Amino acid sequence: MLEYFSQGLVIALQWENILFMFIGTILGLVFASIPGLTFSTALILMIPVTFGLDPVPAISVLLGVFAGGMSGGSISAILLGIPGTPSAAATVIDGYEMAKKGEAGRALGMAVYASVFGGIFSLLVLMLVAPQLAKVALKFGPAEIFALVIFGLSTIVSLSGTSLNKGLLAGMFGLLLTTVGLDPVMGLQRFTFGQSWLMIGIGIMPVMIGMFALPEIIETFQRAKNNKGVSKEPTDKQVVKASFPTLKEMKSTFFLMIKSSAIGTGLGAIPGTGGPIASFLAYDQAKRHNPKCGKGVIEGVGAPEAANNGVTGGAMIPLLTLGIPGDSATAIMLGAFLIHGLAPGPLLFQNYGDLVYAIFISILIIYIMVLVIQFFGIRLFVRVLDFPKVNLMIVILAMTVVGSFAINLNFGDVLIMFFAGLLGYLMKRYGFPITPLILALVLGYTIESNFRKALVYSDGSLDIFVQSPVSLVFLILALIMLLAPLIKPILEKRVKADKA
Amino acid sequence: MKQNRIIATVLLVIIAFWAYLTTQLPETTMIGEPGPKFVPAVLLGIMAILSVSLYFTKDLQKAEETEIEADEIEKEIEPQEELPMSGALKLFGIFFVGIILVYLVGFTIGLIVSLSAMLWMIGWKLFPRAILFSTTVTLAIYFLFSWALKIPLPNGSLF
Repeated sequence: MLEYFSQGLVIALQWENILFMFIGTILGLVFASIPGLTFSTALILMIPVTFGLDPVPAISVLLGVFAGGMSGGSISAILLGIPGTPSAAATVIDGYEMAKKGEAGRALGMAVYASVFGGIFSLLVLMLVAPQLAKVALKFGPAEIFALVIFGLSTIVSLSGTSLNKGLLAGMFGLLLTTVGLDPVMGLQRFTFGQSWLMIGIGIMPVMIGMFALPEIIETFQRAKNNKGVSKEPTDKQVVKASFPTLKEMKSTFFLMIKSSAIGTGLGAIPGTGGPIASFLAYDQAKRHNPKCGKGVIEGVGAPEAANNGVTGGAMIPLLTLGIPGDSATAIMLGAFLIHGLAPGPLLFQNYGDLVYAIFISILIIYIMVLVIQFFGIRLFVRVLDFPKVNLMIVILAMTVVGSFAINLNFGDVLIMFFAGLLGYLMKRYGFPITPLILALVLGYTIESNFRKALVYSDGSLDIFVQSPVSLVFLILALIMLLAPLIKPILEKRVKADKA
Repeated sequence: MKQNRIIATVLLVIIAFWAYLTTQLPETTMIGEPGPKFVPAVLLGIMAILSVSLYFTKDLQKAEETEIEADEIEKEIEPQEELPMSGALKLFGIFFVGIILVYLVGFTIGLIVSLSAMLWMIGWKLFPRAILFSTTVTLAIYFLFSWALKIPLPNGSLF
């Protein structure tokens, strides 16, 4: 471990890696600061740029966007009362109240401090847990991998938004798309219509680029046409200056920070949960810590920010050790890893231990950068809020063509990107969540290939999936996840009836 | 409800077509292995059930995941007004024409034309603002990728 750590340190401290971390962090902060833009879009924007880079700087820039993006959502939440990212929604409650009272600087300072606290806390957990989990996962066979991935996929339920039916349909359609291309066991062509470019299947990246970027671009263009842009500016931007919490404030909020960071890290490690839930749960803790929460107090800003940044390291645990992304951002990260020849999973720790530790150290460096950049450059980020979104969207639109083409130098991928974008727009419009489809697309191949391989080993007997305790546990957990929304209302009715 | 029924009908048509394609796949030749038809058939079956349920029932509300009301998250993120579908489809149409142009005449010309057209559609003056901005963005990206990062971009099949 120490050997990998020292090798990772050498890799992470190379000047070009630090430069790319810096660029990524700035970009993540900028995109998260502007309401309506997401750092997932920034990740998509940067992926084609990473094609020309070595794996480490490429991953560094994306990690910068990821961590910077988680932290930057608080800027507009505090100054405009509009969360830059869904994860910063809870920050609005007290942050905006503080801004209205003329304490925007104090709120911003607390947000930065809490973000870095949460981020570093989750990194420590990641460093402790991930290598151990990877060692266990190395012993998994096809049955266990199948069951594990089915469990990862069952989180579709919690990603389904308001309609479980539509979420499941989106997920199933994503799985169906993974059957296009060569059959994983027999090598036969399926649903390719004789097109050679479809033999490699429907690429994850072109679909992600299309589904995340195009609907956002088209909606921005339409809003620009109708002049429905954001115009709320309650804070005098000239006087905004972040002020770091005092030692007394840090002491009084220390245990709340620990609790909130732990909530974020724990929830982040469970695929399908993520930042918004973590930040509201932490906000609930803040309310218990200080009953004045909601009227503009630092606890109400610190707790959700520590939690949503805690998600960063937490989400990396299943991604790096098991190759299971928990949300759209980690799914994009997984795609980027694959493009650069690094398949996340237990073998990543075995074959590229130095690189894994370089990633850990990079996250630490990035959080130090977040602290410095956000604290000293807050005035610049305030100005970013005025940047015309249409101009940025034109750049992103051009990058969607480059990004989808450059993966395989295949024009078919550009067409896939376009149709995925159109489908994404229609899905969004008619209430179908996109993330279940993406998650299914990422996991579909692994599910089918391991399911069929396991059956070959067992001569067609399904017992193989229940004979292994690991497999059985994951399948039971998956079943619970899938049935929970159906069972819970029935149980609640019974409890109410009993009480009556 | 009516909207759900239309979506369900479209989905059932797609499922029927995909099911027909699935029946055309060959059988397995390995013992114990369910073959290439199995997974698509199972998925299509589940999708058919879900589509039919979309027909007859209201959306099943997801149970609350936590003690915290899910509404609280929605409440903090400002709901945005729905935009007309026709405008979006026009923009998608122009972008699609742009993609075909990129395929035929190459990245720079194809993209300059489609980006300018899109900007003009949303109210920018075509000349000089839209054309100049589109040209600057396209050329900057072209030089970044083709020269600096050495990543080839489409040259156009006609050239």
